[in-house]
Amino acid sequence: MTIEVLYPELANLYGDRGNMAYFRRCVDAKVVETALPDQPYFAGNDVDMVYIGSMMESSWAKALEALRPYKERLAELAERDTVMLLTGNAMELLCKEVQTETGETLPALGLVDLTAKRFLPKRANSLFLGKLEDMDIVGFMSRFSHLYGLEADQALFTVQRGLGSCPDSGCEGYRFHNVMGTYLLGPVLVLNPDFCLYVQKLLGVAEPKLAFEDYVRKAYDVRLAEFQREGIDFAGHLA
Amino acid sequence: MQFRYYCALWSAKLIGWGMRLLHRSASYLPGRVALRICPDLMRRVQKAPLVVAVSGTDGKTTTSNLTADMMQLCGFAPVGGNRYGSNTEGGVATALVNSVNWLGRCRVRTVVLEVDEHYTPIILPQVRADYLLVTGLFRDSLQRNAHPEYVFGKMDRVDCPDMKLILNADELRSSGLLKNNPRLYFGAGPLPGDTDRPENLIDDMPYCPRCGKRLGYDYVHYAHVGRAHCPSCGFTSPAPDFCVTAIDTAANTLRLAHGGGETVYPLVNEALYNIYNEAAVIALFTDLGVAEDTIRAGLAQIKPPESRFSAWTAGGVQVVKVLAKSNNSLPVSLLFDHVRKSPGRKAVILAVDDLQEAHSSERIAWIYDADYEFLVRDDIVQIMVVGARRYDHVVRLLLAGCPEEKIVYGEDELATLDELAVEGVDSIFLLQDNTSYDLGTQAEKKIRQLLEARKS
Repeated sequence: MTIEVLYPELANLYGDRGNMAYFRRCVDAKVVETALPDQPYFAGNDVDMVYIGSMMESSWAKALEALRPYKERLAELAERDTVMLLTGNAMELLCKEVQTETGETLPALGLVDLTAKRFLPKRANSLFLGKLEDMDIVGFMSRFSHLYGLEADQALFTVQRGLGSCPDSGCEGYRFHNVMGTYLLGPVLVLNPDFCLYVQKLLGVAEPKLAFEDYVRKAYDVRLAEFQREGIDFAGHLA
Repeated sequence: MQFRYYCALWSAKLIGWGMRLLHRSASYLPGRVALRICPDLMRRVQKAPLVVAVSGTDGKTTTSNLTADMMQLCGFAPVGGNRYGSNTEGGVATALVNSVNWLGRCRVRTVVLEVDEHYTPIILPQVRADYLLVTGLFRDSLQRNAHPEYVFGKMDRVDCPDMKLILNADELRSSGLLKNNPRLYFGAGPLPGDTDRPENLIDDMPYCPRCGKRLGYDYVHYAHVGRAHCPSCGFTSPAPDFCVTAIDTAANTLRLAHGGGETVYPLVNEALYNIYNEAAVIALFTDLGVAEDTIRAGLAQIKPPESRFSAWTAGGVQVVKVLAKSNNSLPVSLLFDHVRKSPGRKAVILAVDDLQEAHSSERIAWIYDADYEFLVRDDIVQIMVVGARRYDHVVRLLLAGCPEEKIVYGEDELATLDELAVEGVDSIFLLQDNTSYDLGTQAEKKIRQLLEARKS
């Protein structure tokens, strides 16, 4: 199994580095880290999974331009059910376009027909409690954007409490084939042991496992109980 | 408007007087109320002859307190400021109200203001700061500060063209602030323990700000703090006007190069981030025309605030309590670095839950930016993690490679201390979040009891 982590020197905000640091302890995989000036490994090789995490806005713009020449290849990998996980604002790379706070429209890679709108310097911080199948999903958000145009059948998670992809949305994140984009920080794979196992199953791992399972599950149980408590402040408005 | 200003001033003073009578902290509310009555109060308050603002993501309180103490000792008294208050609008307004009398006449010679970095574009033009000292711009709480580029974008909008900046030459992001303002740079030259590339997990300036190519470093002190150069375009970090060239912890001195000469100053604290803060303060006072001898004499009398760093010994074991601001990965990493470089066998207590998050649920992402790997060493014999987030810290420690048998955890800090390894350790480091200061004090008492019981 080969996992490519794109631009880890830049796409590591908000603890997102923890996603692959943890995931590589759960699976037996070759992990290729690609820095920004370099050609993505997936361009000339088969990969089983691509991961990219949260970035500062200037880094996001550089990542977009670096990936633009490989848009068709990414689409081909998606069609072939390659697992892709994009967290935080990295998920916006695959959108049709991003409208910036200055009114500019940036054409993105267009693999998914969604539009992100940035409200910098306004920001939404939120806790999140949602569902994927029968799994309770927990996480955090800290973002300058909302995602518009998401239909329920494209959603990765359904919202139970906290902010969805945009205000009043009951959906969070997108999913097509095995491509998953989410604003959830956490890191999401560490905070959600069952989601971590779910991703492993998508990768075809016969016997998915969790590193440090006992502690990961205890941390999850504590957090889930907090998130389910009445009166907890989920926040979530742009400010 | 003058009527409104005086109503605000008198209201704030009355509220402050009443609160102090009730032994309440009057460091925020008086200013908050005053701003409600007179929104431009900060602009209207009679300005002190010298206003110094201190900002940045880390080290603001330490540096502004050091600056205020030095003002007191170096002939700039009386000194006003927000030493005990908030660093947002309400706290700064309170400090300014306290700096004038009931008639609105300024009664201090100097005001030293710690200013939250997000509020600098609002506060600094109003208070007409003469100096802005910036410690650096690093990752901070994700819910508060998002990321350094975002904070830089806010601070770079400050409209005070005459304000002189005192900036860290070795921190590439903040050194580029407000390009058109007059400026002085402080920094530190090559020092023992440097590396040739960033060693922390976090390096927020991997690429050249001019050409975008990968940066190289002559030396790195921590994170991306050091002297950078771009092999592609020749860009370099700015040359420091005040440069720490040597640190002698035995003699408790630092050597600082400036204007072609070198001067030895007392060392206020040996941690490198505090040495940067001290260099910034020396730069400020030198620029104010204070004689070297006076600066030296002042620094010799300064101690770091006890709430941030305190050490004592019992039963032959040194106990070090340090404020470890949770949600804030780099300062915590620097403390981890300090722990690993301390001699002897050590036990570490991590009590870094943010108790202010009790109404919500603490964002834990920051622990994946912090260098828990620094704690994985043979001479660290035990790591105790306490509080609601204990399992998250255990996972992070295991991920860093810490053997499970070295980790002790529990929800209750004081109860878990019963399992503290006191045999065979030379020092115990208690890293305590600033929201649990009282708990830390109780923990210290219990550690003392444990050590004294062992001795007897």
